[in-house]
Amino acid sequence: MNRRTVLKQLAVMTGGMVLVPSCDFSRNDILSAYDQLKVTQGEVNILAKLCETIIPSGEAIKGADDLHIKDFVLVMMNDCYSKDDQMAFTKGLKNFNTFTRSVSGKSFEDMDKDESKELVLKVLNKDIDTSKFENNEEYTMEDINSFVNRTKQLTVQGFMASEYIMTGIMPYQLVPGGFSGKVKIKEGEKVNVNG
Amino acid sequence: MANLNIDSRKERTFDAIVIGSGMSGGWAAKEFTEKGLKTLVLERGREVKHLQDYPTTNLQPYELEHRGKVKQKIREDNPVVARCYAFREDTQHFFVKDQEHPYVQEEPFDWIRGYQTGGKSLLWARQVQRWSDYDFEGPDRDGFVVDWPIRYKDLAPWYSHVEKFVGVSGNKDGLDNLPDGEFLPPMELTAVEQYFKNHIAEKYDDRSIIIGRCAHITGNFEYYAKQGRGGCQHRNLCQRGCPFGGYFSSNSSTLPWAEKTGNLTMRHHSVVESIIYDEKKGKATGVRVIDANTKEAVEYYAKVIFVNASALNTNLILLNSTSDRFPEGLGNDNGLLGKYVAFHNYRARISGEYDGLLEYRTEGRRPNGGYIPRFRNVRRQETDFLRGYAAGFSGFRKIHTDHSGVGEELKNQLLNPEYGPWRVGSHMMGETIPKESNYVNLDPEQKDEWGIPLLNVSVKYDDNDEAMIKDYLEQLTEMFESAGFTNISVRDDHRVPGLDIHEMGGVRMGKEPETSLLNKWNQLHACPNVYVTDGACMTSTSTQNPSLTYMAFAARSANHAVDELKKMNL
Repeated sequence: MNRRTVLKQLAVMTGGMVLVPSCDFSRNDILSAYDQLKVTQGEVNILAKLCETIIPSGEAIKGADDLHIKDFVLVMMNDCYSKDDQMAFTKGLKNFNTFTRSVSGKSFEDMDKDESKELVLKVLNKDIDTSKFENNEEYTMEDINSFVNRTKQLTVQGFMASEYIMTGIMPYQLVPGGFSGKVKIKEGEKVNVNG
Repeated sequence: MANLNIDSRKERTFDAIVIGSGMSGGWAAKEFTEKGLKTLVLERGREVKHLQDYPTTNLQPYELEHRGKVKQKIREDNPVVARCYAFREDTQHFFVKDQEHPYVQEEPFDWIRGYQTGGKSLLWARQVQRWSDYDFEGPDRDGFVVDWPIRYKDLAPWYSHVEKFVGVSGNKDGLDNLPDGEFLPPMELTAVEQYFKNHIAEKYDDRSIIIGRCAHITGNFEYYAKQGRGGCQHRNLCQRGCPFGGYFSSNSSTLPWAEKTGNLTMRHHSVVESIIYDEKKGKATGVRVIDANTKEAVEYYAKVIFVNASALNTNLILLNSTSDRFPEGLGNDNGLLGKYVAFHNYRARISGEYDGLLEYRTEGRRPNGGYIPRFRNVRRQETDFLRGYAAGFSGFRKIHTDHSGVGEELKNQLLNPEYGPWRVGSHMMGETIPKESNYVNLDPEQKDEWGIPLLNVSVKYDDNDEAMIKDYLEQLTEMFESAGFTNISVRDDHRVPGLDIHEMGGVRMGKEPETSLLNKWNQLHACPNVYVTDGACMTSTSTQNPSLTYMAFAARSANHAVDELKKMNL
């Protein structure tokens, strides 16, 4: 059953009640997140690059840039996390270029695709020589870890819970209509996390 | 809807007043209006109309700005309601926020409330099981509290009456400890649940696994179309309000039905301050209401008054209804009003995995689960603790996604998850023993915005509850192990009472006016034209999800009141 049919059926059931499928975030919420987390456009670009490094856009399947995942990350950080979590996240973000310069000699924003991927993997794998920046007072490795890990978690969530994935790639049915407790899995059948 | 002219006493006079529009109040309203009584339903919260006022009901998951998560600020400001499993981004507008309606916790108690048309009937878990005589006879057999003044045969026809109208999906399991009802077709167990059911049936002669009996329409569709309700579509988004009317709520069912009779007047934003007692007439004559917005006081009058304000608020209203005749609260001659409050113990859960039946999966969603009826101390006392527990049981295929790494590899992993083993889990629903030391009362100083004393709640677990948790975890571990489940882990989350949302008692039923507040018809012994048919009336709690029993009490008592009015006894 596709979405249009479902909506039509719902309209019948609900006596033509108006449906308001608002999509993603309003511009205001995004701006408010920029404002309250005090992030600059330059920092947003760094975040966007990190998101894209985590889930790259591709010709076959869309990725972080295509789906504006950075906006999801920012709105979630702004609305759904504690002050402490926000502080660590923004510290990590604001100092990310400085951090990458001290460990690999290059700003994150100047890295090519392979370099940024290698760097992010090193952070995730805790494979960073922290002695290179231990004297700085601006940020700690915990801030960097917090920023990268939280961004990864939210990027994955924003990607998997996007309209794009939940309609086209792994369809979610708002109105499944029924339930079967025992269905034989077919050979080569693709697993749908929203099935 | 009638246009109320508050200047006229006549226009403020009805045949019946029902305080509260939730699960049980809706039932009282339906029965009264069908029998021709002009009925006023007072709801302290705002109006929530079926269909029109379910703002999130048709939203896709990706249309929820935070994908279901409640904002941090709201969680921090409202820690009690934020602990409720059903308080989510798409449902939060139907819950009372802590800050809006404070109460006093002499002992920690998470009081979950829904102040709107339909109350918590919009939000409930929809599990409906009948009590049996093993439950009604419990207090008498085991020597705690007082004997229930009724038995299963008294309530059975009313269970049927309610089940038919509500729509209950269930299987006729033929269990004497969990009587069958008027069932629509059952939902399916999953492959692993069916396996466990068969295994347990073979291994134990006192235990069974069944599909939950839930208030969802799965058949007899023409009958429910008359209520404007359709079949359950298995969305499993019930707490948003159902656009199909697939599950029962006052909003979708009893209230619109009552309204169609032309005998219903609903007044929202109406906080009942107290019930008015007339010393000369020797009965209650009406209720005093504070308008939630204007704070203006208004009185309404009726021959019979039903208190269905939700268990603890019903206690509050009665405690606050003082007069020369009843200085300690309406009907409270024995000083027991507000005492013997109890609840269900939901602290423990167990989970595990099953590596068999790997060629199967499930399809669709199921707003229901498996159920393990109480098996401990049913026919005789067999443990060192009193009573027992029921339990939920569910099993679904785990889907494993590799979240390691970044880049194309991660993306590829996310798009190609794999089925893992079956994941099985159970949670306990334990009977707690009502005690005089578990009580609610009125705070002597603090009042709410409407000038009504704050309710003080003092309810605790006891050693019996601790022993029961231990036994549940031992027994379920043994059952899981014997079924070949692996990676078993057990947990006591140490939640405080209240989060079960099954608080009961304080205005208990009983045979004697010296030891109880209500008689076998749910009338106050000392003021028989006031009935209490919500959770406050419960003498003991047993293990069943209680709403069905409240609804049966409400329907039975409303019909009793109609008969008594005819006989001029009220």
